[in-house]
Amino acid sequence: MPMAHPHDVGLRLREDEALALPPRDQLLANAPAQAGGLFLVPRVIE
Amino acid sequence: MSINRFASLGALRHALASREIGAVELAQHYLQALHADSLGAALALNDEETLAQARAAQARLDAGEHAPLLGLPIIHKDVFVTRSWPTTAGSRMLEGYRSPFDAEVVCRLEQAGMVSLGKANCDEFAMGSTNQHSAFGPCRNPWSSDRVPGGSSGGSAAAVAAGLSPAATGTDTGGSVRQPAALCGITGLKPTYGRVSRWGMVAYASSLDQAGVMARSAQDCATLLSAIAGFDEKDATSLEMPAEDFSRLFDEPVEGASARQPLLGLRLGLPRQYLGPGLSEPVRLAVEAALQEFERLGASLVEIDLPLTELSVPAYYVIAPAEASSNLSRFDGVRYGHRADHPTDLHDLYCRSRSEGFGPEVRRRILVGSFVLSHGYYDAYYLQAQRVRRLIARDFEEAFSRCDLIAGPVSPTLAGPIHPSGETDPLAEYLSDVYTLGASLAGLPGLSMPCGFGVQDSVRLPVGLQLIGPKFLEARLLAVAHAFQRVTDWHEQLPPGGH
Repeated sequence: MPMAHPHDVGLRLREDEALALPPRDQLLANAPAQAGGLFLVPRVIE
Repeated sequence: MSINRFASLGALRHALASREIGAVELAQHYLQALHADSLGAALALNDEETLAQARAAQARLDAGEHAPLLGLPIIHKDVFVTRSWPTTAGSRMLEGYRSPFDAEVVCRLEQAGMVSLGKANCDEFAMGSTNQHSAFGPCRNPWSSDRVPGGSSGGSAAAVAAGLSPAATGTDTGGSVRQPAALCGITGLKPTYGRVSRWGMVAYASSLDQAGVMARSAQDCATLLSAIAGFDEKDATSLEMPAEDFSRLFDEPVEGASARQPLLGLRLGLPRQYLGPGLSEPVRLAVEAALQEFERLGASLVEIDLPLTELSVPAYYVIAPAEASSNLSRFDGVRYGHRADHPTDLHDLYCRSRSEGFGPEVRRRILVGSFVLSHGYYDAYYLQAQRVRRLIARDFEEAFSRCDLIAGPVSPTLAGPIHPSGETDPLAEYLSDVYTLGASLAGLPGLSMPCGFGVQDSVRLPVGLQLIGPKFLEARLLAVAHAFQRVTDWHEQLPPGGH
């Protein structure tokens, strides 16, 4: 049996509840290019 | 009162409790030493934040609180994300990155009252065994500044050894806590995989990465581990184990043992593959002398076999790069990290951002990892390596039916020289991990502690002894190391200039 993981345990499930995350501006703060609360990428669709 | 920067956490805690020194004064003392450091041990300092934490700790001390780590300074390997210090993981890719949250390990230590001194140098994304692969300059060994401190937690180990911090966090994927601890002459522990939360650790190889602790003694490591270990629901691979006092077995002789022979009845397994060809003479001599000391303490030495030891190198250097290539795919120049200037299209953005941001060793492992996971090679390399991993884990289980703990060297050689060109030989570096990779692949706890010195080119360099235990037996590992440290003073030796 190939060993993918040190412990033979299954992944846990948790209750499907929304948890608090850092606010959007904090999560975007490290983006090298952004505008209007969105990440900027080069044009993908011509 | 004058502060001894090389004092143990226990001694410093005592000085704080008896008000010989204050937490702010203590933090200032270490900050001063870090600012004056020429080893390259630290990557980021923030005096204002450190002193604010020290003042908060002093307020808790003044209120009569008695937590064992309250007011004591620590430095964090730069792969633990921190809000108040930049986190780079030693990479240009993350230059200037500011995490919106603290790693769980950092949180728990701060809750315990520890004062963070800053961030320690490391090999880029924790990939390396020399700390010469940091984008922000190499780190040097306090025992000899033209030698490597080991890696990847080289800055952490050098900082503790040089008295720049009484303790440090590290991470160990294939030996990155144990090997630099050995080469710098300090004590380091990699816990059982899953024992400590990986939340907020910059990922390298997720099925192997584990946070560890580094300090002068097993006693200090036990105190630190007790503060960081335990279930964390934010880490899907965190084990649901109850909290433990990892020093609870200290000075608690096993049944039938005596004060003179506290380890009577302990069976120490010596893998013949760890003491065979390839082990350098100075390391062999120091390890053998340490084993004799264990015999005097009452332990019996049992020869054991870990027949696939040699295969741990190729298995690890397939599995870890495979996981790294997947983990590091997140660095796309969009959400965070380095972004190339004026990309012509998305493909150009990815290619140039990644080529510019990653250093040569990281690029090498991403390429190897992508190759072994690619269609047509997956079965031959990745799957095969995972099969070998299973066999290696079984060999350890088998070995533990004949002994209680395994003992051997950490690194086959003393700390090697820093090449002025900055060049390293990747294969030689990979092969030097041969004694630490087994415990990593099997997910077992491993400890490294000073056990003597070797002389090379008339330089005196520390040698580490490795103890490997069955899963979850960190308390036993630490107690046995503590018994050794009670009758030896290798862990109290200071590098040149240390006083």
